[in-house]
Amino acid sequence: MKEPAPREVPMRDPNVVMRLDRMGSFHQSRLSFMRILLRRMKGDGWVFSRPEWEVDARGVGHAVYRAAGPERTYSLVAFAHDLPPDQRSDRVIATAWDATFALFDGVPEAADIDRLSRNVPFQEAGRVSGRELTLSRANRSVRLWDHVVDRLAMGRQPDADLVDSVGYLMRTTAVYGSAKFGAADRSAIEARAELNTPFQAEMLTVYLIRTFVMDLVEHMARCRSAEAVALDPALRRRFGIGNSTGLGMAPFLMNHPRLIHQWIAAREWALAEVRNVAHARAGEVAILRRFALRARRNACEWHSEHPIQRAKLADLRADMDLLLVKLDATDLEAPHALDALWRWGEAHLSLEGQEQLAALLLEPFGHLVDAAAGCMAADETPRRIDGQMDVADLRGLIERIHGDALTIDWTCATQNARVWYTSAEKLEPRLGERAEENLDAYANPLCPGFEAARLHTALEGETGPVAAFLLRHPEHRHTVRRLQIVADHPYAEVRDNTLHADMAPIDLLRAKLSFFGATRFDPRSDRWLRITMFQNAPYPDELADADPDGWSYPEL
Amino acid sequence: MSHPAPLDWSLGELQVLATKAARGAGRSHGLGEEAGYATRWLAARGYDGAGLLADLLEATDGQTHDLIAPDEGLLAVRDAPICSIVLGTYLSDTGHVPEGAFGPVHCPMLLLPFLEVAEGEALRLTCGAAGIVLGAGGSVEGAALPSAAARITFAPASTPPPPGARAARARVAPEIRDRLERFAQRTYAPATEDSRARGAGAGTVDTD
Repeated sequence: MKEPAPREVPMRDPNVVMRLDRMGSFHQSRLSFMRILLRRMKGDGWVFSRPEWEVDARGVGHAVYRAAGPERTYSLVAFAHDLPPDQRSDRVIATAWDATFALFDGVPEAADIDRLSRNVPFQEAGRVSGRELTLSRANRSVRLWDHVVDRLAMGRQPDADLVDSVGYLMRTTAVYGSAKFGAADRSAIEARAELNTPFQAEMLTVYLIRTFVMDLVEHMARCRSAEAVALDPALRRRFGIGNSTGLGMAPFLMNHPRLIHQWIAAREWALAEVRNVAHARAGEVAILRRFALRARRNACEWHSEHPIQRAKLADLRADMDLLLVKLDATDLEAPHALDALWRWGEAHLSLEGQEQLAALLLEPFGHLVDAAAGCMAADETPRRIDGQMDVADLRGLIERIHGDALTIDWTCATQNARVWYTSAEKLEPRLGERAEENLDAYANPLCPGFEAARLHTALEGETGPVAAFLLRHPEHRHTVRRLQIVADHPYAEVRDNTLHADMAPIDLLRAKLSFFGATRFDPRSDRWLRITMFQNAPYPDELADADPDGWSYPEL
Repeated sequence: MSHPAPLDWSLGELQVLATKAARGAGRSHGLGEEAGYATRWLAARGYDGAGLLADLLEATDGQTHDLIAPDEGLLAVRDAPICSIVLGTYLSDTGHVPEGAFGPVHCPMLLLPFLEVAEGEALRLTCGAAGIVLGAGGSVEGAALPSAAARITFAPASTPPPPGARAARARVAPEIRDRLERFAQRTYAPATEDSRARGAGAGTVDTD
């Protein structure tokens, strides 16, 4: 992205942005991966079809969905299963699912389908190949699934309130991409324009899964009764795909510092770009006002039983009321009115409301900000360490980046309460209590502040180049590399203590999922949550005539 | 004697396993990352990076860092062989490759991913009767050097190797995967009921 001529408003300070409570308040925006995908597919006139549907009356079989872009075609290969209820688990440790999927690079032949049928249903216990881009699975929402099949089979539509209260018929419990279990490496596909933005293959997978799920539920109703009807198209749109996301996603944010920087920097750049608009036009202001109303509706329709999220939703609803009053009282076409609005928001809104406003401000300005989607990827080859750096400069870096961490007493049980580790059981990432479980030997380095403070102490009295220090102290090598990355990737690092007793991993999950484009964050504990994806989005057969961005807040 | 067919792996999953294996063998997190990178680098050039790393980790298993790290001066004659990952990263950090014989070094092939050669130049790594040439951009020419610890010599070479093809996939023998997996297992906390119930914060059956 180009840096424009002198700007009055700089990008936000990483010490403000990269805080857990703020990251846990991020919202989807124009720069979310689902929206980037739909914009591209609509813009390039992608064509969708379902060349195979071999599913029996019990709902067992397979189907193929094809998405053909201008240069390449991708195919979702879906397997439907008959899952005993006692095996339906969203945890990584599950071994069977209602449906399993792979995204095939191209058009699969019968031999490919056969190979996939012997592997994909087993997920982590199977293998895919370089022809596959993703591997995933989904489980039914039992209460909504049964209701929808029953109603359609009776010739009636499902209850709209129940549909809205759940929001999906199936939820994915993992969408693996990027080389996992044998799938193609990102390096093999990143040069393709349609897959350069991160997670485009994963988002395409989920988008096609949504269509498969709707086809499957109608199929099951038809198999049950000759009287069955199809879903009403307007109601059908209100189904998204759910997703259960657990702790495993949290380490991603710490393990991919350069990538995270690119995401956050793209959005922060976009926000600064909009705040720098000297005169908003009437049409842009109208879009902002309309999206603000829709965001308020979204806040009202978004429910959670979890006390943390209930309090945040109360804040968000109050914020949206305040914002609408403010918008009514403000001439947004006045000079620099958008920046003034932003600064008002910083002073008067909770973090939920501020981050919602950040996302809303981008809505009218696609022509200014959408190009940032091309800057969200990163080369993640382990960076060469500059060993010539003097240890005094390294200490200076720590003081600049992790000033807060240097004031923390890391011997305090509350500050240093947690251990991030990987279980031998299906390699599930977990979080332990340092004082109660003997896990230190398995700790993963997922607290940059703690590690930087430790390094700072180790550097006391040291002189000379970093290379000589690291030769004697390899235990600090990981931290030195991170620091040198953060030195020129300021949004790469979480600036809070990820070992604190009160740290809630769901904040990290939400930050990442907001960049996917997820909505309706619904925490089920401090370390896992459910979301919906593509709720209200046009289906593939509707995309050509639909607004690829307009769906992401509910209609008024 | 027949061998089982090699496995078709993505480079990324090989890198992940190699990183964990090095961790399991006692390398620090930062060195583990370097081992993963080096293994992938060799595999992408058609060498058996996984096998070389397994040889290195087995040869140095249980040894302390002080024993397998080079001296800052590098050229001192020593008894205990140096770990090529530790040495390679140090050479990379300093940006300097010393001329003259030193070592012995375990699995010297694993040094190559850490060395940088300027455009138009070439560097020969000699190990007994065997040698291999590295050029700019990570081009390599020659058969893999043996894993056995040996004294090595760096010297300029006259002809840079041609830019070789890059493999998009890794071929990993099941036996070598198992050897790396044995090390990687050491990084996983044993499954306990308590950990299963608390560590991920969710139940194990979902009925809604």
